[in-house]
Amino acid sequence: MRIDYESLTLENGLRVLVHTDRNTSLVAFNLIYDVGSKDESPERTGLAHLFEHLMFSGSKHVPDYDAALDRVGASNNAFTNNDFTNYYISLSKEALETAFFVESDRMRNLVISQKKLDVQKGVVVEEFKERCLNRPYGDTDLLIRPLSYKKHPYAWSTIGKDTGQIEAVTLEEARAFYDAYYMPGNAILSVAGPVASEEIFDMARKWFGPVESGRRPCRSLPQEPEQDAQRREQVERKVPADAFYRAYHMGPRMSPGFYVFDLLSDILSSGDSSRFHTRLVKGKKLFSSLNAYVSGDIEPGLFLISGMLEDGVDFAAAEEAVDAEIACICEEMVTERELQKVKNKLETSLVFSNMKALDKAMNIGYFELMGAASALSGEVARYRAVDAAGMLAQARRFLRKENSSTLYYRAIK
Amino acid sequence: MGKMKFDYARLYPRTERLDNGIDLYAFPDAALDLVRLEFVFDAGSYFQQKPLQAGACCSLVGSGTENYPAEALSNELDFYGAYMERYSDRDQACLSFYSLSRYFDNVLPLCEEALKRSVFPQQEVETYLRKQHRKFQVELQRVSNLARREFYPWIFGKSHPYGIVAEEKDFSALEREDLLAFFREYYRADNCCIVLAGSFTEAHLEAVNRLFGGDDWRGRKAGLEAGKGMVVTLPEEHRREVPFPGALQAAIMTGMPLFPFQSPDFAPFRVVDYVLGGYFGSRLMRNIREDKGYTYGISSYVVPMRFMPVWAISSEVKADCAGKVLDEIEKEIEDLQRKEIGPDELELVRSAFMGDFLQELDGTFDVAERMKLFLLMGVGPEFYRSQEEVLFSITPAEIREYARKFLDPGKLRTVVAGAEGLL
Repeated sequence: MRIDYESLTLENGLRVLVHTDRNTSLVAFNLIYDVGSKDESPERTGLAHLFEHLMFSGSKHVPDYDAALDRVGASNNAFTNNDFTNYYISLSKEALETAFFVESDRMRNLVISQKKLDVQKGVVVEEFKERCLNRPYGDTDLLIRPLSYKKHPYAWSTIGKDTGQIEAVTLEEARAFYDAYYMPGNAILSVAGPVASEEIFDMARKWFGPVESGRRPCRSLPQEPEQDAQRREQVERKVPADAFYRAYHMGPRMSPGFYVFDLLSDILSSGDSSRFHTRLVKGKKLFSSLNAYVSGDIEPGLFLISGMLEDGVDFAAAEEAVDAEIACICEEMVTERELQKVKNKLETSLVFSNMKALDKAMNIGYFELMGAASALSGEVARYRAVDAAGMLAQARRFLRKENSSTLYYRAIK
Repeated sequence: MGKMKFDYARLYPRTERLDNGIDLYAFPDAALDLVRLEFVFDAGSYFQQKPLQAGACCSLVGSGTENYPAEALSNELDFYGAYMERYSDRDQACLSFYSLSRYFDNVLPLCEEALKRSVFPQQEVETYLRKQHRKFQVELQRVSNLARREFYPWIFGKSHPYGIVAEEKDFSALEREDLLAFFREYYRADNCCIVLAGSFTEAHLEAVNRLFGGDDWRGRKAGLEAGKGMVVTLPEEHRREVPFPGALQAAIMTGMPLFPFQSPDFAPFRVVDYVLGGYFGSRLMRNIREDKGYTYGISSYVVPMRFMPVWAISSEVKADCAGKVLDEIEKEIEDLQRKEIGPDELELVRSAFMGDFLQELDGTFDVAERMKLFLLMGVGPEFYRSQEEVLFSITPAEIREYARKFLDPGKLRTVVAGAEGLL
């Protein structure tokens, strides 16, 4: 999998990346701002995501952002995570310049009012309820993060710690956030589709060139100290079944450990032939489902396990069985065939997730944010480079009791 | 801006017929490194004799076959990096295999094994049912699901194929034999269409014919006659409430049976639906989310069911605002029936609608993905072209006329699920 691109940095600091793909019909326009929930103060969690909503309020020359894009048949959306905020537009080549127009305008000329802020607070609070509070097991991320992180801002979810902090955001705070982070030097624009790099560079110069450069606050996040004792917590909720959660600290996204743990999570729980499914779900009937996955954060993230217990199974027995599987990973090398299997699967999914112009534009931008867009083409090779001995070493280093947090999510009637 | 250009030719597959009569629709795309092979059967829950039968059957195809016990086939597919996607709804059951082109030769015989020789081992059935039962219990605590579960049996009747919802007892009543019987009856060449997309070769096509074009899995086509001309008698009451103590949001579902897809009213109705709640900038979204902040999202949509599509609006709203939201929905409908849409909004709707088309049909796999809907609707890719013609020729007066004719509040049935005392 190879994804070529050309790049240019404008004088105001905006990085522009272009991937030419003549086989797609639509053009993807992706704009990343290097600000996520990790940049929030612990008293105003959820602000980065709330602000993403406010970005659709309209700007000086584009009073109605969505309508301006709808008029040219463009689709758009955005998301925020712990690390960054991503805005994207997908449209025909003929309409492409509209994307430059609306995005450059809202980069510096956003218009927000008390009314808009109040409405979006309401919308986000409803989103909070829909995703987390009014859904069985919806609050687990709100519990596991603060259990795992004591210093680093990954301690809170992107949606925020609670609805109160979202409701407390003032118009001044929202404007200050905008002024601090929304500027060319803090953004990465990537465009993919049937376009030539020079025409994109020209449009970028024309629309984004005049935007004042600005300077974002220096990021100095508190580092998470190495965990030296296991942590445990339990909560009671009105849910149909007990659930078990386990989190281990692991390395950052671009460290070799990430590839190891991503593959390991597949060995443990991807598909009917995975270890968790054959042994603990089907074999011992301890869980109705049991999954392993990586959080995928840019800075040191988490390797997570979550499962729903079968009726009549107690937490101790369930945990013991999970521990035994983890011990097995730390004692014996996985088989060559198991490793080959998950690598092949990952290659397919990487090809699959880089099929469309929008996928490619997003991924190029994301890798540029992490250091270099060129690294995207090396992803398959980095997974292929993992061997059983390396996996064993990483597992032994990170999958230790002292590096773990365990949550019992107890069902009550 | 003017009418958008769309290359409708891309929607038309190269069609082939296998030796046993199976229609194969091919969408070649040499630029991809992947192949997608999909088998579409008329084997949705409409055809089942027992609740859960159709869904369980589809989900367990390949989980234990004559030559590959239990997870062995899945293990083998995984080894080639291939994926098997199982999907079933009320009408159809689809099995899709995704594979890197270079492994497709290895994957094809595994597809054949799954399609023809699944044996539904007892242990696999039990494990699946345990997992589904748990999901079912979890879903019973979601207000949106409670509203939906109430809606369909109420509209169609509890024993109607479109009205049946799974109950607790069904999870212990389903047996391995039920799945075998369903599989033998419905997963047959005569009840199957194949969609092949991506970078495949002529040799692959021949292999598909060799593996799936024989008489060894003939059978019969599922009966579709009984469903034609389906008439739904609406219940008298207009509103039902499903209490869920302590809910922080209320779920609203309001809707009605529509009319068959083949009706000439379908394309214009979709325009009315789009204006009201079919896109992010729709009237419902602008009013209820962007102006009032009562919800994270609200939309209207057509649920595609072969004999009787349903039109509905659904949303999860602030716990104490269900009444207000229903009032606003009514106001928006009345507004469409009273006033003609302005030229500016109509133009915007036309462009946004076409933009959604472009998204829906962006890549070769997306186009291939639409085939099962065409098969269900009984109309071909020309559906998109005629929709576009209607979109650009419909007048404001006609939109108002269609709103009056079809958005009949007397026909709407409403379910609200949420905390007692607030409904």
